[in-house]
Amino acid sequence: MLNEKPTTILIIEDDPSLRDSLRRTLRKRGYTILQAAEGGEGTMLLGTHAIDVVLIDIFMPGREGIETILQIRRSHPQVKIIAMSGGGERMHIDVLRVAKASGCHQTLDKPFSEEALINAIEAQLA
Amino acid sequence: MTKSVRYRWIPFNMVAVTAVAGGILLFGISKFESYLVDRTGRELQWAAIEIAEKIHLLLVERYGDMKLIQGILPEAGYEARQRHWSQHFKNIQEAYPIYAWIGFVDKAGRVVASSDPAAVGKEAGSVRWVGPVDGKRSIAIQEIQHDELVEGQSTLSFETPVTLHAWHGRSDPFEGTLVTRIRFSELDEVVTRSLREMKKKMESREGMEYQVVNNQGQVLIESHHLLGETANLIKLGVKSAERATAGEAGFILEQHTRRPVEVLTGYAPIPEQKDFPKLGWGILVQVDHRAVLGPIRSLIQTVTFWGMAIFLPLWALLLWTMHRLRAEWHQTDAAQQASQELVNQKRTLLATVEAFFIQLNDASVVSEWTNQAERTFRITADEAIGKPFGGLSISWDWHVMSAAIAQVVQSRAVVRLNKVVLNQEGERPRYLKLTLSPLKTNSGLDIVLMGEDITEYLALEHDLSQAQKLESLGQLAAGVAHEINTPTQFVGDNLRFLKDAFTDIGAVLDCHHTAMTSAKAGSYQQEVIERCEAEARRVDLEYLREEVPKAIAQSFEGVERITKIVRAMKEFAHPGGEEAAYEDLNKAIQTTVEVSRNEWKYVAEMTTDLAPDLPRIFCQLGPINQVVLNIIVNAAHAIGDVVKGTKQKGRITISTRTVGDGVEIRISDTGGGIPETIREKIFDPFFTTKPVGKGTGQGLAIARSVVVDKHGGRIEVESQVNQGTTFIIRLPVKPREAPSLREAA
Repeated sequence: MLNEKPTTILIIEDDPSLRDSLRRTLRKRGYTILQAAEGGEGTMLLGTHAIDVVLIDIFMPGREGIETILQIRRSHPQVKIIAMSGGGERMHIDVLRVAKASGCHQTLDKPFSEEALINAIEAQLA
Repeated sequence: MTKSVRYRWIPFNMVAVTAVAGGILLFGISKFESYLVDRTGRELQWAAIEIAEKIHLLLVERYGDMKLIQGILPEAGYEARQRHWSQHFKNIQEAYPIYAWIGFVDKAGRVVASSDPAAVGKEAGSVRWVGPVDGKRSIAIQEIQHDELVEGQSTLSFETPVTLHAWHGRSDPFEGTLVTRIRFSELDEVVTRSLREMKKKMESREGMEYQVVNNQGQVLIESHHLLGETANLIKLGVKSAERATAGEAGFILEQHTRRPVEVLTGYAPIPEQKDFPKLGWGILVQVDHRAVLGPIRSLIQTVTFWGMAIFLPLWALLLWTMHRLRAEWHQTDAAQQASQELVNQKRTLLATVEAFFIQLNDASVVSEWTNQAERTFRITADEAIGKPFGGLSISWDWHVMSAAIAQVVQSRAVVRLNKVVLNQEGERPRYLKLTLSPLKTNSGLDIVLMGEDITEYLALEHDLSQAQKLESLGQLAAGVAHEINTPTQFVGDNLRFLKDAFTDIGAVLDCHHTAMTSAKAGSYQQEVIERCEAEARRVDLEYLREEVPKAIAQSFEGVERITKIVRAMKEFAHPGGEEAAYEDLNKAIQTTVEVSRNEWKYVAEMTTDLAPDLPRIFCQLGPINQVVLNIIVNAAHAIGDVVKGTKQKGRITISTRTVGDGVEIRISDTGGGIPETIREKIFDPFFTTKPVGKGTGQGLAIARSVVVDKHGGRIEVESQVNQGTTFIIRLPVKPREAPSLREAA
């Protein structure tokens, strides 16, 4: 990446395997990666680091992804948010649409390709 | 049809009958009246005739008297006998008081001899010389209104010329007139006497009047002495007077001369007689028309009174009867209508309901066979009715049917057959649900066989159950997709990472290969080693050494996760076909917990406490899985509602244990509980507390159907609001009676 300042991406994901694989994929592309296992930890990191993009899973135990998205939108409106979901509905709610409505900038429907992920991030950085 | 329209003719009839009766009565009365008038008229005529005859007789007597006196007069000398004559006349008058005066008047009109001596020598007034009376009539009769000889009273004067031949001392014959006078009152007396007698004969006849008129119509005598001397009835236009004086007898209805009433007048002339002067008098006897009608009036009064007295109560009775009849008719009519309506309703009902009805007289002969029965059995009513039921060609199990009929006859109670298979030629088997009811009739015991083709219903029930299964599968699919997508995501990512890593490692290995080759050649090339080191740094070999095993391990784990969920899904959806078999419930529960993980994992911890020695039970596993899934999903939703917005999680506990010769599954949650008000309804089909579109309300209804109907088990719920809910399912190891399971096999 030719940016003087490397892009910092925060991954908020409760599943460690997915979190690791995302970290590996993004690191390969030269992004600086921060990781959090749940929403509270993520918002804490937002307070201490300069983060450009948040990649967040909507379904997480404890504080729900949607709530975290809402909180980030309030506290760090400049941060771009990309929401991930297993797709479909849960309790009959189209969560990605809800996520979009609650202010996230882009959604990714799992399983997504590496290319789609990078495109999404780059689109937010442009 | 209303009450008022019916029997409207009755009052009309009554009015008509009354009118006819009245008409007949009036006709009768008028007939009677004319009869009465006729009779009375005739009576009056006879009375008049009688009176006329009496008067005539009286007058004829007087005529005889005259003759007698005439005979004795010449015997005495004129001079000497004048006194003697007078004495003689006086004697006659005393002997016959009818005579008012008897005398002898000379030609000059002077009284020569008189019964009243004072009158001798007086002028005889109106008596004038009548001259020699002709041979035919030797007597003249005239009325005198004011007879000076008789104190100015009205009299009737009989006059006859008398010639006394010359006697001693007198040479010329003496000519004079013998005069007798009787008072009208004497005639009056005759009339009244005869009338009095007549009245006795004719019953009392009030107000009878009479007149005696002369040939001019002048009233001579009358009952009330009111007419006055000048009254002339012919001039007054009284017909009866005209006719009587003209010599006719009869009766007539005419106007009274003075009173404004009609009178019935009987009239007769004084009869004529040879050598007696024609008087031309008429006798009129009258009664008021009203008096004639007196009896009729009283008759009318009596008839009216009694008519009223009889007719009015009769009318009232008739009206009352009619009222009652109407009311009764109305009731009957209403009852008839109601009954007709019932019959119609029954027909309509029988025609519209899906069910068929068959009635068996004396439990054997078909007496009712509805359209639906025709359709179901392909036997027309004509073919069926009147035939023995057992003789009809219906391809079902007749043993079962005969036994059921016998049972109804014996127990007199309703017998139900829930699933009778009907194997019609050329079509798929159909299922009937039959109810056999005893119907006591006058002649004996009928059986009403009501049945329904439940083939469609069973299919629908199956479809509904499938639909619910699909619904929950669809719901699960979303969760399962999520469960699968995450590992798919990172396994894919990892593979790409490993591919890149292998490329990087390959590059490092290439360097190392070069280094190794040159080392084998015995040369040491610092440059090659540095390149190797640079390449290892470039690819961050340390990082790869750390990450690659992790990526591989995580990929295995991911694939394992996918495998597990797919297997569970498969086991859940297709647990060994549709057939019932002895199944391991613990394993089934674990599978269901697995497939539903996504439903509960964010809101609840799952604890299972499954008895290891749980006996296998004979069941269809698919529906049982469905039941467990439905309850787990409900539990997750109940907990989700409670923990929403908090970081807390609830708990779902599933336990199994052996209870008697069956097993018990308890599924508890720590959700909000079920309010007591709706606890009764939760197993009802279509009952749901979820928002519209978020559930069909079939879950628990199907659970109940599966557990109770299909497997002969029980399903209960224990719940405390704000504490949680426990569903308890008890299943027998082998259902004692669950026909659907057997048939499904």
